[in-house]
Amino acid sequence: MLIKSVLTCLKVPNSIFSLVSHNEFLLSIVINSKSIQVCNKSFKRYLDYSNVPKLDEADLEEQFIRGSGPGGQATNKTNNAVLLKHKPTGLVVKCHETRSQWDNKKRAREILVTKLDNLLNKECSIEAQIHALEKKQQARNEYKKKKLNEMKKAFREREGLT
Amino acid sequence: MRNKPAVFACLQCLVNNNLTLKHPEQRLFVSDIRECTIGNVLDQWSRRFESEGVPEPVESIEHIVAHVIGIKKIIDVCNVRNDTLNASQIEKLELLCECRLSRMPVQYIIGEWDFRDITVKLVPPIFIPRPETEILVDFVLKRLNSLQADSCEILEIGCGSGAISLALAHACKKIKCIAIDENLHACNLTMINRSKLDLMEQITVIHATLKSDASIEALSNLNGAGDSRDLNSKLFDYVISNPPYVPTKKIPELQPEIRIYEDLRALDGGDDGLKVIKPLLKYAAKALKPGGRLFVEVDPTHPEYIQFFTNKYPDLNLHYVHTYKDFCNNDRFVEVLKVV
Repeated sequence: MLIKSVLTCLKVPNSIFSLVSHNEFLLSIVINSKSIQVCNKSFKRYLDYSNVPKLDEADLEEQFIRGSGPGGQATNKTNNAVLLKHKPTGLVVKCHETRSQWDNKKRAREILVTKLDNLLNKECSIEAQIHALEKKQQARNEYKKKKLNEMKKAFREREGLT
Repeated sequence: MRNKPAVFACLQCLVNNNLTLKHPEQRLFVSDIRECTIGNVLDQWSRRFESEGVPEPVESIEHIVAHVIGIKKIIDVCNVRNDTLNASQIEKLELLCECRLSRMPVQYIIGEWDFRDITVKLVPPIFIPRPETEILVDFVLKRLNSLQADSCEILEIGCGSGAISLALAHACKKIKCIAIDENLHACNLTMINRSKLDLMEQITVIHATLKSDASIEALSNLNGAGDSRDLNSKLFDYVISNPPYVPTKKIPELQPEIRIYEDLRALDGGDDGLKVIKPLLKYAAKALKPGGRLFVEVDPTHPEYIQFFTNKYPDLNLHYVHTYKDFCNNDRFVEVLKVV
């Protein structure tokens, strides 16, 4: 992944670290981009991921809805929701997207990274960057469209077609 | 087996979509009462489930509705509360809800479930993979990555729906897996899931059983040549198993979902729950390459015994490595190393 090389290693207070180049982090990027899949593809290389926070497992408090009971083979429940709390910021994420607890755990972390990124980096967060790029692109498209319409109009007038 | 008739009744109702269970007089045509929006269905059936003591009433109906309208995510069900169901969907829904009233596990009703990032087809009475076991796959993959071998041969004993082997093979292309089960239906289900996930190249399914004398006996020949290889002389990098480990005396206390519908041979581990674990340890001692590892899911009372066992039989050259906890903080997985 191209982002790898760009990563710098900053230490941010309240024990959120920006990343070195861990797989886990790359994973979170992949997911971030997934949530904004449609538009992100073309923007990916313009995004600055260097400030995206990395989760420290020690800061996380995880809760499973299925909770008590003997567990393992002796339990059969369907609720595999995961509740993830980021203790330093108090952010709470609940993930019930899939029927797999493992998958929900993974996705809860990705969502948390995005939320944390938005909270800490505000207008520099990945989502904000994408939003800004989208706006720019839209403005460009509108400008092109306007230009084209003007040219068409001018042509018609010139040729006496109106 | 005690639970066989019930299981077959439900199998039949799933296959024919034709219910033979005894609920007709109680049958409540919730959907006829008002206009049949998904919201109404969810509310009324969750109340009905709750009043009849069905566990997880809300989740149950959400999963059933999601299945009937052909979506996977139950959060999406809540976004379409105002949509209506057509007559055939209502009919199907009511059949499935009756299965749930008879305490059939939701996973069997909708016929599939997610295990890590794969979806496996599930058919009663083949054991439903539990979320605890998802982590077992992580421990194996972690160990595998730390050793950085070019290829990796794994044997799974008692594959059931094939979830563990398939998840491993799906996660790592280096892995070649042999999955065995003593239940022919489990072998067939594993093969169906294998082709759905396009993992034919990586997984071999063999109908065979681990006997109490720690040898493996082939029971039938599934797909001609290639199966007949002798599992009693082949060596593996890993042996993995989620064997039956529930002590027999605890079986009557299990939820009806498990007791009635799941094949108890996949759960019942005998008086001490070690009926299969003991031969498994002895077999692993023969079948693992030096440096190979056994990963096994167990009851929280078992790790201590396994440690005792490896110390008691030094000739087996087995070394107890570690016990891992599950997400409920119970001792759940044991790693054993075959030393040179």
